[in-house]
Amino acid sequence: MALLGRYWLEFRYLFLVQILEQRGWLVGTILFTSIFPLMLVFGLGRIGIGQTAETLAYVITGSTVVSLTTVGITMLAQDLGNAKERGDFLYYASLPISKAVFLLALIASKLLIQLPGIAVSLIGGSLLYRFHLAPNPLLFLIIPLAAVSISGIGAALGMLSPNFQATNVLSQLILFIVMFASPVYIAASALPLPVQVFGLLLPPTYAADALRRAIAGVTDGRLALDLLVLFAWAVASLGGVTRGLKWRLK
Amino acid sequence: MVAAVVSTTNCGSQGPLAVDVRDLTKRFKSGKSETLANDALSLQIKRGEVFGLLGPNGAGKTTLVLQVLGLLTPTSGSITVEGVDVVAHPEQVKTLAGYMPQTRLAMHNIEVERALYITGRLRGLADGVARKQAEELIEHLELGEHRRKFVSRLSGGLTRVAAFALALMGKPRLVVFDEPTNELDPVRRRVVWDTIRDLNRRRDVTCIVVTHNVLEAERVVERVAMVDHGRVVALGTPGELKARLGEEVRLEVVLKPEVAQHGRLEPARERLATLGTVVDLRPGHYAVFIHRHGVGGAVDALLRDMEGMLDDFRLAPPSLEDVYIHLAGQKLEG
Repeated sequence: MALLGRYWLEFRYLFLVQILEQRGWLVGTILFTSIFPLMLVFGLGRIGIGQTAETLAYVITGSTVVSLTTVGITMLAQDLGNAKERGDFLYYASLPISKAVFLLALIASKLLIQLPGIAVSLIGGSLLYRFHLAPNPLLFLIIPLAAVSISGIGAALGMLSPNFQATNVLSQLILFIVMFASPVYIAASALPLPVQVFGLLLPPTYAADALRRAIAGVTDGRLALDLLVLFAWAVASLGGVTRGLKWRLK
Repeated sequence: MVAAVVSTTNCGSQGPLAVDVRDLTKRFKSGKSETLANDALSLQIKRGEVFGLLGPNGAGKTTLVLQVLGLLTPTSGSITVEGVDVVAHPEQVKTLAGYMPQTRLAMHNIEVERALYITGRLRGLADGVARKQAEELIEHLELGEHRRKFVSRLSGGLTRVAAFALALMGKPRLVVFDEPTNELDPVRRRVVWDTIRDLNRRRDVTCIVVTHNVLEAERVVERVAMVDHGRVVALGTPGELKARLGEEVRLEVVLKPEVAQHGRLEPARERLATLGTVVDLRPGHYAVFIHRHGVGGAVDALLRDMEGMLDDFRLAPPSLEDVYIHLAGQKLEG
């Protein structure tokens, strides 16, 4: 219990630091991250003629999964890479804090900024296409789990890349590969078999499926499996960061 | 006062070791090239001691302290801090140590006061204690009018003072200061050195001071290690190290700018070399180490042969800086 209390204290203050650091451009970032997913939902929903309820579910949840995956890979990697480049790690590395908690606080702060965009794309998309959005409390579990589940990749990139340029390029490349192989906007069955198999290894596949089921009000064994896989990825990410990664000091 | 601010650990300066470094080697690999930053370095620092680490740029001082703090893993060798095996348990040493790095502060858009408070909380202080300690440090280090400014808006000197304060938050038993007085004005430099002395004398906090500012450090440090090429090249109290210079006196000579403009620096330097051992501080500025019995003759010769070239000259007893110059053979900054 004492350890949990300590972790909670660390999380509160590290989260506060991250939010305070973003004060200056918080409103602008929230506006941007809100408008962009909505435009994506608006644009993709109009491709082709006669969208079915199933394809609309892909479009409406797709933006959310892209946002979450971007947080977990690109934003996290770039934030950590930038911090390493500026020498900020020296401060955090010298504090008696948990690396996993630091990572969680960083993800949580990014997620908080993305939340309005996620809400706008889910609610806006359902209103736009008259898609019935079932209110499901599991969304509050799926969304953070999805962000944390992929954070190990972002954290590894940010901490281990030799410089910020490498972090930037690699994080974009890996984001592209992950998004390409995950059935986020299109059904898995529409992808080539090798890509389908590769996609089964990636957390966004399960995040997208879980979101589609949750907003459709489906709570079944497949959703439980999605959550289990996301949870396993989240534990592996945090465990990997704690055990495998060192505060790499420039 | 700082006395109330820092650790209440009470240990005598003759007590057990705070830091024990043995055969420490650190190699950095970059592609095919390899840099030897620390070379089988050994060092013992007593609990409650103010210990100076001097040496030229790239000597391996910062690499050494990063390993002592558990922030870098040694290639080989052992490090113990307050009985904790740093190589095996690097996280444990972080509860014992404060660190003021040379780099800019990690917090940017955060007020000075809040940065101190948060650091205190993350270092394990209770809410009230963290607030009180932050308040005391702000007052002691004269940061009052800047307490609500964002750290990123502070001047270079004030940023260093804020970094100094951050290193003191919590209850450190060991504090490492890396160039603590860089960019500081004389008044703040004095406050920083007084604080370090206070930490040691009143609270027995072990302090490691990495610095180029040899003249100022000499008044505070109890023992000094001079590091060069990753090795300790001299170790002892300032008095012991100065005794190495024996009977020598430092004659500092500054030539007029026109001497260099007329290309007469080299002949002037050669003339100085006949008086003693010449060390180049910067072009036209030399330290000449001469035997104390030869001081009168040297000054006579200087005034007789070089009077028209002299901008200034002064005689001084040996200082730690002279030992540094002799051993490192490098000019000092500042």
